[in-house]
Formats: sequence, C-alpha cells, structure tokens
Amino acid sequence: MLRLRGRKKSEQERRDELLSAYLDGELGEGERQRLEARLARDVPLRAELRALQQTVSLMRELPEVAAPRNFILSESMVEQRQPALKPEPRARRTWAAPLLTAATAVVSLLFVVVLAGDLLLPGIGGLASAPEPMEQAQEIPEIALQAAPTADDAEIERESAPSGTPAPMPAAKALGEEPDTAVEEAAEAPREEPEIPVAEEAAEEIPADEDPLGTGTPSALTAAGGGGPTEEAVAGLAAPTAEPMLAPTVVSGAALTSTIPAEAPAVAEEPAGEELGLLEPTPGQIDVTPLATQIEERGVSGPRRRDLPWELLEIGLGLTAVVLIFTTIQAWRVRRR
Amino acid sequence: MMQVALREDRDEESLIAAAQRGNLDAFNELVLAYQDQVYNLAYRIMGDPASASDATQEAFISAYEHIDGFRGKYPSSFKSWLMRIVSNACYDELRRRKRHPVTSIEDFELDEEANPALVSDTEGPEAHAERQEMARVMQTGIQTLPADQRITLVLSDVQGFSYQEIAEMTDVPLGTVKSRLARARGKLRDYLQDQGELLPVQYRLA
Repeated sequence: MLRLRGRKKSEQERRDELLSAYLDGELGEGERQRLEARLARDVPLRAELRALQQTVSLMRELPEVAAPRNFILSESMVEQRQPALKPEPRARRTWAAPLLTAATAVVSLLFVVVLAGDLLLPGIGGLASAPEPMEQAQEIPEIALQAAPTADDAEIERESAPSGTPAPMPAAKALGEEPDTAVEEAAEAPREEPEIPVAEEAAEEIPADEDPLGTGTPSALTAAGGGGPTEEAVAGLAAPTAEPMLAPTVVSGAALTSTIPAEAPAVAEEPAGEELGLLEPTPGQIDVTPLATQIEERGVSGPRRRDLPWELLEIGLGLTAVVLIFTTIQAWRVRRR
Repeated sequence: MMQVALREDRDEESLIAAAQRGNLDAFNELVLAYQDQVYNLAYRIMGDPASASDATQEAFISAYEHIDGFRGKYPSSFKSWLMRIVSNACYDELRRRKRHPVTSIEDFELDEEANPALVSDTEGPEAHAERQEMARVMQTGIQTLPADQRITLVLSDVQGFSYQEIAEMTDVPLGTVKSRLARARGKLRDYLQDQGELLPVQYRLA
C-alpha cells in the first residue's frame, strides 16, 4: 500500500484539490486533459486518485440514518411568528443610510456656511466682534448645546427658543450689574432703560463665535433691550423678527403674538433662578465702559430687519442638520443589524 | 428513501405557502417529509444521536419561524434552504463545543443503534454487519475533521449538493468549497489508510 505522507503537505493538498475536482468533473477541459496525461505516466498519482475515489464512494454509500422520532412541532414550541421582519428591511433599505449621510453632510455644510456668514459679515448677522466676556459666551453655547441635541423635531423647535434664551438671559443679566432690577424687569413688561446699553454690550459680546443654534442668539441678544432682556431675547430667538433695540415694547408685543414666544413668560421665570446662580461668579468681569461707542458703531436698527430671512435660514438648517444626524445614525444602526 | 410521501392534494409549494400564512399543520407535513434527511445530515455532522436530535429540532423550529424568509431564493429548493438551516445549527453547536469542550465519551464512541438504517433489506446479516462496521469507522473518521471541512464533505458526499449549492448554503466562495472538500476527502482518505487493519477486507484501500 502506498503511503504518500513523504511528500510535502502543501504539495499533497494541491494534488488533492486537483484530483478532487477531477472526480467531481469540475476541471476545465484543458486541465482535465493535462491531468489525465499525467495520470497515465504517474503511478503514485494514480494510486492517490484511486484512494480518493474509494473514500468518496464510501461516503456516498453511508447508510441513511432514520430519524429516531417525529420532529413535528407543537404550538407551544414556536413563538408568535412575525412576518418576515428581519431579512426584508435590510434588503429594502440598503440605500437609505448612505443617502441620509450625504444629505446630512450637505445640510450641515450649508448650516456651517450660513453660520459663518452670520458671524463674520457685519452687515448680516451683526456679530463681527466678540472681545469679552468670553466666559459668559461659553456658558451660553454650552447650555444651549445641551438642550439642542437631545430632542426630536418638535421638541427641538420648542426648546431652541427657551433653551437658547435662558443662557443668554442669565448671562446678559449677569453682565448687567443690576441683577435684581433685571429680574424684576424680566417678569414685568419690558421698558426702555439705561440698562439697555449694558445688556446690549453683553448681548453683543456673549455669543462670540460660539453660536449653538446659530440663529436666535445674536439677534436675540441684540434685540434684548436692557429692560426686559429675558422676554425680548426670547422674542428675538423664537420669532426672529429682528426688532430694533430701541423699541423693546414693540418687540415684546410682537413676540407675544407669535406662537413660540408664548412660552416666553414661563421662560422668563426660569432665567430668574438661573441668573441668580450665575450672578455670583460673573459680575466682576464685564467691562461696561465702551458700550455706548459700540452700540453706535453697530448701527442699531437697520441690519436687524435684514436679519430675518437669514436667521430663519440658520434655524432651519440647524434643526434639519440635527434631525438628519439622528436619522442617519439610526439608519446605520439598523443597517448593521 | 425513507421519506414520507407528501399527500398528492398538497404539493410542497402549497404547503409552504400555507405555512407562511401561519398554518402549523401544513408545516408539520413538510417536517414529516424531510425529517429523515435533516436528521441524517445532522447525525453525520454531529456524530451522535442526541446532538443530531437537538440540531434537527432546533432547525425545524427555526425554519418555521423564518418560513416567510423562504421565497424560492435558493435555486435548488426548500430542501437546500432547510439543509442550510440545519447545517448552520450544527456548525454553531460545534463551534460552541470547541470553545467549551465537553469531555464526554460520546465524542469518541458511536452509538451502535444509531447506525441501523438500511436502504435495502436484501443484505444478509454478514453484509449488514460489515456495513455497520464500515459506517462506524467512517463516522469516526469524519469526526476527526474540523467543522468547516466536515460540513462541506457531508453536504457534498452524503447529501449530494453541488459546489455552487454548498457555496450558497455556507456563504463562502466556490473556491473555498473546492478546497475544503478536497482537504476533507484527503484527510479522510489518510485516516482510512491509517486504519487499514481495522477495515473489513473488501474495503481495504489499495
């Protein structure tokens, strides 16, 4: 009996593959002829083939083993059958995830562009400079950011106004070194006050280049005349009707008519609490002096009317981007499953 | 074939359709029709009756629960779809055992009673005994193979599936099927040659 272990294993494996395919008729015509020619003169190879062939025959002749019992199923064995959930969605939706990713990328990019335009172009958004106080500025984005990414569509829209507001509001109030007055005024109807300049400077400087929702904050803050900064900021955010700073009454009036700022009063009460907390650490950091000059430079009323469509665009893009991000994440998760 | 013939008034297609609508009785008719083949495949892969029974049961339950997923996708048939399920069940179990080896003599001994089924009753007792012995040696040899090779070998040489069908059932390329099959056969051949003395005379390989 020929033992073929002497040759290298890899060579034998290669031969086995050739012989095995030959036995199954899986060799191409040329390969088959070459092998048969080789078999004619290679005795050990012929023996190998024969041995392989017998092995296969023995396998094929193995007796079939009968089932020892019945395997029919009873109702209790099977769960409630769900109609073909698993395989289908995967097949159906393979295009969804990449498409959503692309859409998200586009919308996010547009949003960033619009936002950048808002921040960098003085004529449009109005926030060309943001020297101090940076700490307040950072607080606002943080708080607003925390609020923004946690909700779905409806919630985002509702929260964007209030969440954006409490942040700038406490900050604005912190800046205005008249916390108590500001609180009272927030709860009451807004009035024109010498505090306007203070709040305005704060409003200008707070958002800086970190603008979480992009849209509402700058205009909200700028619109926030000193007196009732809360309500006006809310109004500015929620219904970005860019009101001139000098007409806070009008602003709040207009704001109250739109849907979102309906929550302004409620929101106004929140910042009261927040800003009290914020007041302690912050007051000493504001530079109140150059206010008047800054305000004049900014050219108060004009640009704001042009802000509206831009702000709407920012809000819309921001919201769409967030929604798309979540939907995309979901789509990829489902896909992986 | 020890297959229970399907009733004429209910061919396989309509049984499958009924099962897909939730008709368990219809599915059970399919079970009766295929259970021997399924069990046989499971037995040849797993090597002992208990494991084969478990795999068979599991396979049928899984088949019923996923029957909606069968849409004639596989070129062959319901049979290859079913065999795919049972071979996957066996594969998972073998992998699981590899990770958590159970030292049991079941792995090494074969239940004699598991090898009873004879295709033909015309064999005399001697021939029958020889076939039993041969089958026992073969099965032991099959169990020296790693799971992938084992399943490929059984699907090809016991169940008669083509390379292409096996490639689809095991989710590997055609080339992988070819090489797994060749290695399995080669190893089994070597094993049988090593066991030369134990084989009944007429089966001894030259």
